[in-house]
Amino acid sequence: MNNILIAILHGLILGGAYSLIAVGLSVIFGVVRIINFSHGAMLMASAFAYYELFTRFNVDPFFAMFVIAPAFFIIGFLLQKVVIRPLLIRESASVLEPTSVMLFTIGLDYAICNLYLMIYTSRYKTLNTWSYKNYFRAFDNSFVTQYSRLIAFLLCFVVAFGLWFIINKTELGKRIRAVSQNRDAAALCGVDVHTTYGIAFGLGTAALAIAGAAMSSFYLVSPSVGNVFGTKSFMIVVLGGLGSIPGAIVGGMIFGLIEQVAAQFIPSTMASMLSFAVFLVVLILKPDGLLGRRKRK
Amino acid sequence: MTYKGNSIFKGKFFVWLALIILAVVPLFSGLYWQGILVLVCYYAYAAIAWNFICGYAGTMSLGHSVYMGIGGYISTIILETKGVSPWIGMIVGAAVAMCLGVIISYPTFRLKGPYFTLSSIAIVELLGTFISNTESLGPVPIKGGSGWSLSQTGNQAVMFEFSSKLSYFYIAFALMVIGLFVTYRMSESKLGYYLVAIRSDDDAAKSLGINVTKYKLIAMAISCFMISIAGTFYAQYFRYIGPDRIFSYDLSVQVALIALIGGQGTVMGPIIGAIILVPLSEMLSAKFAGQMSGLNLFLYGVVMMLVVYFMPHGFGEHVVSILQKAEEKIFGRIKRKAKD
Repeated sequence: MNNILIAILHGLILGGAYSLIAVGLSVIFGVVRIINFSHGAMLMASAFAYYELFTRFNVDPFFAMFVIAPAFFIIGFLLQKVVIRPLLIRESASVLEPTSVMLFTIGLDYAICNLYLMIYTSRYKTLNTWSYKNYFRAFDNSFVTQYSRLIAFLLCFVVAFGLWFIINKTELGKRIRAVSQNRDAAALCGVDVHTTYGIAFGLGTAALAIAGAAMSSFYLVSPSVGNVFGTKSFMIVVLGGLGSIPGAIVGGMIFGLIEQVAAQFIPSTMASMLSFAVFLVVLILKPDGLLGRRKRK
Repeated sequence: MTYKGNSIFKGKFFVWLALIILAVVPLFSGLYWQGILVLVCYYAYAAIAWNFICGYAGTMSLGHSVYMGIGGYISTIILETKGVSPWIGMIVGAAVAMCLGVIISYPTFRLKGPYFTLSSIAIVELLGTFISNTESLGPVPIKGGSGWSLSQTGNQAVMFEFSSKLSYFYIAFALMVIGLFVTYRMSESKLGYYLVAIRSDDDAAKSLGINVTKYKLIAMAISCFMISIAGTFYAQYFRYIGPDRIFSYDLSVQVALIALIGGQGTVMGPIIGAIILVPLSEMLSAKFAGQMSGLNLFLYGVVMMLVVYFMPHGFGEHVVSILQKAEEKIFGRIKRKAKD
């Protein structure tokens, strides 16, 4: 197989991992209408949780995630219900994108990242798990990738489908959609708005913890990974259309493809610059993202 | 009582007092505190520049370090390759940063709220990656990730090089006072009122006939001009400039947090933020040097969360109201007696 096709395959695999990280952020934005700037920090925190579990008890992240993801659901739920709720109520006049919550999450991001930097120092750690060490080979060994990346790619669709199913096909999802469309009208119909927000936030962070399991087994674990993936996941979510789950997948795939395919022709750092440039152009030409619907006030 | 930018008159006495104290203190303090006070003035000045557009017009930019970096890089490059004095390079860099700021902001100002913030982050990442990976741009050397170490030639005022920290302090202090004065004049001018109107509701401002984009661009241009001078100061003071720090998202957030914690959209906010945060974080990081590298930034994050929670308008108004209460206690009786 020729190099370009291989690069496209690598791009799709990487894009799957990016989408997996971004999809939780998209849910949180779509429902609660806040950009959670602490997304990257939480990803990093979950990666360290997997690191601890792996080094101390030798639990593979892909098994540990069945414990960590529910724990992160609770963390996200409480963060929304206890900490962010008063800020949202204070700004109830402005339904769209309250700024103090954004500032709060920026502060939270800074605090978490630097707390972990204090505890774990900036040294990189790798989790030498089975899926990190072993490689998936196809097409006469011309396409080689870590199993963890392949699992991340598959998980991306599982998680996205799960979230889509919860939001579109269940009773709970009906409430979530009602709240995301019009908070006040939903409250008048008897929906407990802030519990629903909490559940949506929890779902987003649980999805993030699943992404953390994948990321910690194919990438390095260090306090700065939050920044690396956090910034990218904002870009991906906006690129695909904020609040759209398929949009997050499309955005992630585009990022992955740009980085891998462009890296065939230009240095890989320039390729990641290209993805930021594409993001800026899309944002300016089509601020609602590729698959986003225009939101009316 | 709320302390708004345009009511500096109420606190004018305190502003002068605070500035005079700040100007005199380093004369009697050791090198260590002089160093901290240089940083206080430097960060205060950068936060003033950020506040000029982001605080007044409410456009949360987290990419202002780009303009600081451009100012610093241009003055450094023309100093090292052509031997031009940084005093001239500072103005050249500021002019370039201003033009670039307008070119970048013209399309991105169409984006609202968090979208604008994200675009500013993308720009910082883009230019930061570019600078770290570019050895030279045509005939112009950039030196990539290693950055520039400026040679030390001794005490040359013309070349922005001084042997004493005190000189650097007074330069930073003068910059800060100029920034303060410019912000104060702006807040009392038509531009200031337009920007505040744009911050509260830009659609309403537009419907009243305010050319939103034009006034935001003017404010952005002034803001970029000011912050790029801080970049030149940074390069000359530390004798080093590299993309890791000066083109980083972290520096942008730090500058923004100082202004936000002090009180965005107020004249004194950035200075109050810097006076509170910078010495605290410098002292803490000196105390735990080498062991806990994230401690000072952790502090910024925690203080930011607390401020959002308990003081939505920033520290500034509380500091001012405490000082005004103190004034009432100390001078109130005398004033009342004088009236009688």
